[in-house]
Amino acid sequence: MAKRKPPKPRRPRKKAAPRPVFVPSKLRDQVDTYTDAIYAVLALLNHVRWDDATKKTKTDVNFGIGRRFTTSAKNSFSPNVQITPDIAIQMAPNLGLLAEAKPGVAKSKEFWEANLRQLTKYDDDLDGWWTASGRVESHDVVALIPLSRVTGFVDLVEEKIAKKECQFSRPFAIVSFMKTTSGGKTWFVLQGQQGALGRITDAVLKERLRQNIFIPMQALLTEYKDLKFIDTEPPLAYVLYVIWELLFSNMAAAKRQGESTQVDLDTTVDEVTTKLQEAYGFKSDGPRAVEVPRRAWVRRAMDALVAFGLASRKMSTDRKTELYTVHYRRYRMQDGAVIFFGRLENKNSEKLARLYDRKPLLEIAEGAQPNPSPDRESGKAIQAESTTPSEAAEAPES
Amino acid sequence: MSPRHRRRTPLFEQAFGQLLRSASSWAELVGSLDYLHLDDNHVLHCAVLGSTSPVDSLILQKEWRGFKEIRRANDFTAFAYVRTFGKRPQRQMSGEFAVGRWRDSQAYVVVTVATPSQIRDGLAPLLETLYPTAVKPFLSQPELHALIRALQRRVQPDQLRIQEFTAKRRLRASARKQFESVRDWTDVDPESAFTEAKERNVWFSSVRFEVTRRKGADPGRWLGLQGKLSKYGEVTTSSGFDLVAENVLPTLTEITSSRVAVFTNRERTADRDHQIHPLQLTYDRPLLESTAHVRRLADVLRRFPHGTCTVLHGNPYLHVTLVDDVDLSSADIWVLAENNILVVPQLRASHGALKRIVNHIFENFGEGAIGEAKTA
Repeated sequence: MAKRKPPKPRRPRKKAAPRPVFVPSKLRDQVDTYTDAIYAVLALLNHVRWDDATKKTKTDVNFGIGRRFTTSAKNSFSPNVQITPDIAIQMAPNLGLLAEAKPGVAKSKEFWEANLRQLTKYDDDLDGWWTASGRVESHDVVALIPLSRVTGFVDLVEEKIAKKECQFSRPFAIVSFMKTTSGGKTWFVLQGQQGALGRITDAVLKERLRQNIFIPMQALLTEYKDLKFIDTEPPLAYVLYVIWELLFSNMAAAKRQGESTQVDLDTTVDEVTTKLQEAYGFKSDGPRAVEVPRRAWVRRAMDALVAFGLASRKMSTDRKTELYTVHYRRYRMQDGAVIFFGRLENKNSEKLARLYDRKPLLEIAEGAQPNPSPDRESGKAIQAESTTPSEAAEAPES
Repeated sequence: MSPRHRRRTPLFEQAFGQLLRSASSWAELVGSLDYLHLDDNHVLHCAVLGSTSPVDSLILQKEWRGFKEIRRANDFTAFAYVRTFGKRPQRQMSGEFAVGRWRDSQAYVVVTVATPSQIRDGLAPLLETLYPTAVKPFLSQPELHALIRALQRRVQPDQLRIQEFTAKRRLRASARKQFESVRDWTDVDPESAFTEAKERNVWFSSVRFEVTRRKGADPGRWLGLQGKLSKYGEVTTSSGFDLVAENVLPTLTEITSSRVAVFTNRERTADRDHQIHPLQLTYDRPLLESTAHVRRLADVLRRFPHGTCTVLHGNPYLHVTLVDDVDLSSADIWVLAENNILVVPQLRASHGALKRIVNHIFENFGEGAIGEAKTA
């Protein structure tokens, strides 16, 4: 009798990395941080546009919430590349201001060093202003930093300047921001640093920042039509919340017939991007203007819906466009839509990582890198000290 | 409600069904309601609905089973319905009603003669399904008070007495439940009832009243009339419909029309550049002065029925997105001041859904004044 061969030992199964724990409060912080950045940018814009004499905002100030500039060949960090600060304001034909909101909740020094490096790129003879030559005589560079982080950032800048590792040839100012409640109202406050790190050319703006003038949040909300995006990539769950709760609900209501609970919405990334830009961001109105939200963020969100099983995707018959069918219905979202999508993102983190890794070229073509970095050339991501893979992907360049 | 029939011209009395088929106009229909013969336990009932589209067309679009148009007159349409409901046992409720537009306004009046159970289980659920295109209004406590006061003045030399009320009462802050529903039987004059309600933190959902004879005075025309007025625009009376038609309906329809106007065209798609059209709910006292108050409002919004509430920020200010799961309208709610709430309608915001959101806030948090949002 032939001896039976002993069974082959089973190949050990690859152990999946343990899924990080989902912490709702962390996601809430990230979303809060993002909306803070929006209001910091709007508050600065409002300071520049505010006319004390007429008590109204000036309408003749050129500004772009996100605008493409080209660095000069002499730029020590990134010569001849495109950069997009959070806001560009041209106060006079020869004077401009560029600002970057840094609302990060991260505490690491590397994060702030990366942000400082980014700001130094703006200290250049940039092309892209609203003038015939595209240039202005001078412009200020402003860093908008949360009040809780400003001391650390000031120390870092002073240290770097002292070591000659960083220097600004143009006026540079650190402006801190915070929300506060006083006199029964909620205010947004900008406070300019004094001395070497508070150089603002425009005397009126400088004085307004010195006096810590309070701006009612209600005025910012109504004047700037409840903006939901700036040119910084928000957390994925936030993009999904806006798309699902505000945009798709409207599309589904138009398509729904009778009392049906599910509506299949046929759409494309382009359609969703355009509608979001029209309602909650900006459409490009010139070669230098940026489109917010970016196509790449929307693609990531739509792909996430496919990964979650809330949508399906196929190629169009001419194989040029990806068509999405969103299986829209109302889910029981006890903790709200942001946490609902945050949980789904966490649960499907591996799937999402694989999905995003497959499309690096496409994402670069759409103006964002697959792993969002704080670098301005390619769209930014809110920074946070994180444990989840998606958050880890957003870690700053070191 | 026990019926008490006071017919002005009993010679011409006829049944409601006959009237629906014979009246040539809305005015004739409403005017003839007084001449009707009411069977035992039947009442005259009317409900006011606010809508930007003709309600009779909306009803026909619904294609309800057991539903048919009896006749279409110049300015009203008469319908008959059979509604089947329940499982074990399955029950049926049938009836007839008429719908007419109130003087070219955006308010429509539904009139029927029926038993309270026919209204409760037959007509009311059918009208509810018209949401969000046609919705009942909601009256604030002062508006309800003003209507009762107008009736009280009109029935002189008789007097109006509040016999029963249903209400919501705010409980003390430490209680788990914030409100309790109250149904109480009483016999007081309206002024005392409303004053006491204010003192006890109570606001009425409906009040049942009776016209009684004043001591030493001659009896008036509406003596013995019993009626019920609800804050949701419904009026029921045992007789004397002319009293309601002349003194309640004009104000009720005006309030309904103004509610429709204030909640219409607020969605961001209303204009090409997607501007916002926020509403401001203003309180005469600082109802949102502390974090605890703001948290209480957030809890109220989380309990928005058939809706989803996403809290984006809770302290020091409140920012919430509410989506109506029935109608798919959405609005952001902001608290940026201690005495007002901002309602910012989003891409889709029907007047019905906005009304429901505001009504939910008023009923469960506090009644305020509705107006345009100020920029600062």
